[in-house]
Amino acid sequence: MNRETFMKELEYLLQDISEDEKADALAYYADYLDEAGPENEEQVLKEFGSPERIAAIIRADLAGNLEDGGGFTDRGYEDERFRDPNYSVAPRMDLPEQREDSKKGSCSTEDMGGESRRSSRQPQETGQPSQQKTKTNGWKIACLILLVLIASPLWIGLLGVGLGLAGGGVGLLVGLLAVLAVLLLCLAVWTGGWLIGGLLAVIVGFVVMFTPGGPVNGVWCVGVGIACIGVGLLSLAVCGLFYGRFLPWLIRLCVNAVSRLFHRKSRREERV
Amino acid sequence: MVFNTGSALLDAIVLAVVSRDGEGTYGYRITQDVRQAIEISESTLYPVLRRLQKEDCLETYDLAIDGRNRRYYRITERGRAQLNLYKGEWSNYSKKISRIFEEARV
Repeated sequence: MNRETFMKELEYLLQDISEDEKADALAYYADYLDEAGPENEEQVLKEFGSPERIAAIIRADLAGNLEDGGGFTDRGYEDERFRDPNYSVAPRMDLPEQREDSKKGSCSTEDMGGESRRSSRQPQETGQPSQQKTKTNGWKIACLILLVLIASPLWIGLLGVGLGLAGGGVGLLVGLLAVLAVLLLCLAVWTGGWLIGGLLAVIVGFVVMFTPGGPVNGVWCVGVGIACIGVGLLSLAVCGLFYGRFLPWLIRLCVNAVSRLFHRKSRREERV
Repeated sequence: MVFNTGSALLDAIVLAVVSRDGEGTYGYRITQDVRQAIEISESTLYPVLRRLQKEDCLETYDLAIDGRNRRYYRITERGRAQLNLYKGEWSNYSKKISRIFEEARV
């Protein structure tokens, strides 16, 4: 930035202060640059910083609050308010290196006592967080794996297939059991029906035989009844096979399967 | 320098620098003279000079030099009284501090 643009910008920035104050300030800085001479102009302007900074200094003085801010140190006048607005970027505390730097800076310039305090505290500070870090890292990894397993679409698909298979298996088993139950009930009812029906028919036949209506009908009825009892007896035989042989065999099969499952498990445990 | 310079001390230094020239002196030279004692930036002195002027410790007058105006600062009676006060205070203060440092065992 050359002198002309600097003065122009400064004038622009001082628009709102009184004409007298503005003229005085502008005259001072123009005069200053004149005295410094063209050879020093660049260096002086660089030290001025920006027009914004100079304007801030002039304004703060007018407001009468120059005394209670900042101070003159070996590095010149230091006042937070007079920082160049263009450079007054707030320190980024989220960057670890930056924070370290700023800590170091404030300590070394301000208190020498703080230095030793800091150094004595350092091992504690550096030791603990690293340990915590590995711990939390392990947890993080475990959580991450769990998350991946749970959230994986493939896993959901597999889960669906598994559930489907299990559901199918359960359905098949329930169906088989239902068929078995129906068979159990039906066979008994069927056999009972034939036997009771036959018996009733024989009784009815004998009763009808001795009625004056017709012995032929009675004999026929007894015949049918005996036939029915025959079927019932046949069914009874089937029942005997079913209840006496098939059911025990089935139950034994199931019990054996379950016991084998447990047995094998226990055997394996024994081996281990 | 590792010690801070308060604004009162800077006022005292500026008054002392200006008082050395009976004819008065101008902003740039004041800055350079003050810089021999303490480090200040080129831009800092304007508010101090302006305040001292408002407090009637300094007065200004313009002088035409090389076809342009140069503003001169000259110490007033009130400024001289103030400078005297500062000088006394400083002498007292610095003597005490110096004695403490001389007695210190390093």
